[in-house]
Amino acid sequence: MNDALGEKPAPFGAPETTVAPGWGGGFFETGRPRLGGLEQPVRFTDAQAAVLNALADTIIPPHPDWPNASEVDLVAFCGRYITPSGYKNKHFPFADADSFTAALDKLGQAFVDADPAERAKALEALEKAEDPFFEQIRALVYYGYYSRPEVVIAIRRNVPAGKDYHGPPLPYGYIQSLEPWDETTLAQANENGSYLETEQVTRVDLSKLTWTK
Amino acid sequence: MAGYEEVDVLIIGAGPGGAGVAYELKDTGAKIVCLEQGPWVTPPEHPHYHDEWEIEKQRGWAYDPNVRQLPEDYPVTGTTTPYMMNNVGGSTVHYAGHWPRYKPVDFRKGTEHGLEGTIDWPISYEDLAPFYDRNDAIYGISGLLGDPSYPDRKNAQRDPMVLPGKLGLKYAKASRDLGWHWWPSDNAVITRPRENREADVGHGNELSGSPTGSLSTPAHAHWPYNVRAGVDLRPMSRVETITAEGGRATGAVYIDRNTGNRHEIRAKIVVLAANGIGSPRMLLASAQKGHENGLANSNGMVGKYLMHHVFAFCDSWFDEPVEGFKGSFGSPMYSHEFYHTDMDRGFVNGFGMQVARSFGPSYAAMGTHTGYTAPWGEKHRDFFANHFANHLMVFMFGEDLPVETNAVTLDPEVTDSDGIPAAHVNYELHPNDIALAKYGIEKIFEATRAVGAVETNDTGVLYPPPAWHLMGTCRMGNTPEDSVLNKWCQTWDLPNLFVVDGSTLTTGGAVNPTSTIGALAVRAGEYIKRNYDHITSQRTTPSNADAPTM
Ligand SMILES: Cc1cc2nc3c(=O)[nH]c(=O)nc-3n(C[C@H](O)[C@H](O)[C@H](O)COP(=O)(O)OP(=O)(O)OC[C@H]3O[C@@H](n4cnc5c(N)ncnc54)[C@H](O)[C@@H]3O)c2cc1C
Repeated sequence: MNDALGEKPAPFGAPETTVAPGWGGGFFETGRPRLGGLEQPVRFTDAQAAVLNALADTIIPPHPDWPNASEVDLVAFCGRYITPSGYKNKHFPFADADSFTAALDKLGQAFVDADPAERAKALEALEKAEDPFFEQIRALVYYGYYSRPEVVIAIRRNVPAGKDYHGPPLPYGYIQSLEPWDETTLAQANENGSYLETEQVTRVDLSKLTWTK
Repeated sequence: MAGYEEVDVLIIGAGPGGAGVAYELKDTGAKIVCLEQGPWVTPPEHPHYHDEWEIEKQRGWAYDPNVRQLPEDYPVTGTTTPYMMNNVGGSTVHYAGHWPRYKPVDFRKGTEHGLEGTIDWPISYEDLAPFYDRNDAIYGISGLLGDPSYPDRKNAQRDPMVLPGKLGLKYAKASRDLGWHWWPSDNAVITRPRENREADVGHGNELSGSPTGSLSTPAHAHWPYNVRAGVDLRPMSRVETITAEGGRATGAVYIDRNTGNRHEIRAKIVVLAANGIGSPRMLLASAQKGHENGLANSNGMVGKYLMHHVFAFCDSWFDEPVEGFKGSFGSPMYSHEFYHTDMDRGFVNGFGMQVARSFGPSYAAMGTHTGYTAPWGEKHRDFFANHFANHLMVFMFGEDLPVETNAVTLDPEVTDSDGIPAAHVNYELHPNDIALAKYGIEKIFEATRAVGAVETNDTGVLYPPPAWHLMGTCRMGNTPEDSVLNKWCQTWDLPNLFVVDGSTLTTGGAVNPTSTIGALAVRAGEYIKRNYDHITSQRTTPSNADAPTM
């Protein structure tokens, strides 16, 4: 669902003249957002980074077969994909740095020190309260975690259906491991199906319509 | 704005409509200018080589301009999720490239039921068939000829089919076991290399475009050749108004988005190809003396009868690998078992089942196509292991009725960055569309359960629909009373103003529209080429019977 629903979208797209594109988030104002997010990521304090990592481990809990979510540098990923202070918060995940870091600060050291059950409770409270931070952090952790090369390797190892998954679609593609049509199946494809010729089209019996307006 | 320049043919919009007309005219010696509000999108701007390719789909590669918010985009207000791209190649720059044709019955829905605003097309399938073939050859289409649910297409050129993978084979088996029609899809994906284009490597994610050129779009298949032949394509040029005088279009005023300067360009023929939302928006925004309700709108029909198709997304999960992350879009196969009207179902029209590929692991975690988001916390790992790449999605893809009140108008308050009024969309589902879609959802799950789906989830009938098909708002018809265009895409009001894009389509069928838009563009281009002198001297638009023939 787009966020313009029911509301007037801002008259966007005006070429603004804040900072040069590509520098410190200039692309937030002037064009297609930079692939990979900000060139100059938003920086977190050590305390905020610790909360972020604790959140990551709460959302995707540690498992012996998988890299820990707190150890794949989701801090940097989040820093690249949130909107720096002072810029229009235009792009997914629509997290502005000020509110985002404020939410981290609010959870604070107590969250880091809590046991997994207590952490889950705190996160659940945010989810129940429909705090926008909840959706932002969950999206960042999901998108971030599953984009990391070490996690891609673990997918190949751990998930039978993902054994060929190699991360970015290109340059390799999957042409080498895709099954072709088999001749028997294809040979049966023309057993069913027909069409009406132009001249065969006639009025249908509209008294059989079952809907009413 | 000092002075103006003069050309023979002015084309507005560089998507399939505009590119297709330019391609037909490129070798005629006519002076042709195409104004396109967006830029060329270059290969490095695509996300396919990046670890973060999945999150990028939500950002600069979002389908919805209201979400994407690039400078070339314009706002579309109302209860709508408009999906389009504004750049050289138009919305195909991130389309799936599924390439079915209409069937003969689709041109005769007025005869078949005539419900709401439904009328017959002024042309038949047979009229368009040769242009489908010509258009397919320009784009580069892969697939298999011989589908018994279509008339013979023996002159169509096809690259070898894209590979189905486990996913395509599974739904083919389901359809076959149930005794349903199914057929390997035609796709705008080349499986043999062409000049400057690489053959498909089964990479997927065509919905974020194609940096290698394997996806057949006008950015690859038309514009390099059009430009080589001398067509003057001007990206970053946004038309503000189309001008008219004495019953004829005279050209346009446009803004060079690089400089902000306005320019006037005059042309003997104007071809509007700004899509099913952009074209009515331009005509309505071009209200002027003598055309107070907008250009080509003396009967008030511009913008009306908007169609998107009715959709539901149907996810199924299996307890074995489906590997939907592999393989190119649009689709490995489709079923048209329920395409035709069967009054015993209680509704008119029908639907297609289009098997879709999936994306990567983040897409699985974020809930695939139906918002089935992976739980966070202790259940997450198991959920992921059971759902990622065990997933198969089928589009319930139905024909929607053309309804007069489903319409594009101008937003009275919101504008784009150049002050041009935004488009406003009113679109409501018709009870016939809803009945059809509900039936379709059941049928899809009947098929996936038959081949072992262990879990299913669907969106229900989507409202607002995913509006990636923008159709009907300047439709072709039979008389100046029932339509905006005659059968050659000339506006009834101004003989030298053509509209050639998704808005031209009289009805929507239950198939993706672009092969038909492209065929109409070839046909309109050919018509202009053959009748250039006639058209440039017409004072009124000829009726379908009186218009010169090809
Ligand atoms: C996500 C997605 C998936 C799709 N998948 C499929 C598919 O599988 N199969 C299929 O057949 N179709 C598909 N489509 C639809 C397909 O992209 C469209 O049918 C097709 O691009 C429409 O062509 P068009 O010429 O009508 O308009 P467009 O391609 O939208 O081109 C219109 C052009 O006009 C330009 N323009 C508009 N206003 C102005 C102005 N004022 N001045 C200058 N230029 C202007 C725009 O910038 C744009 O480039 C998909 C679309 C989307 C968004």
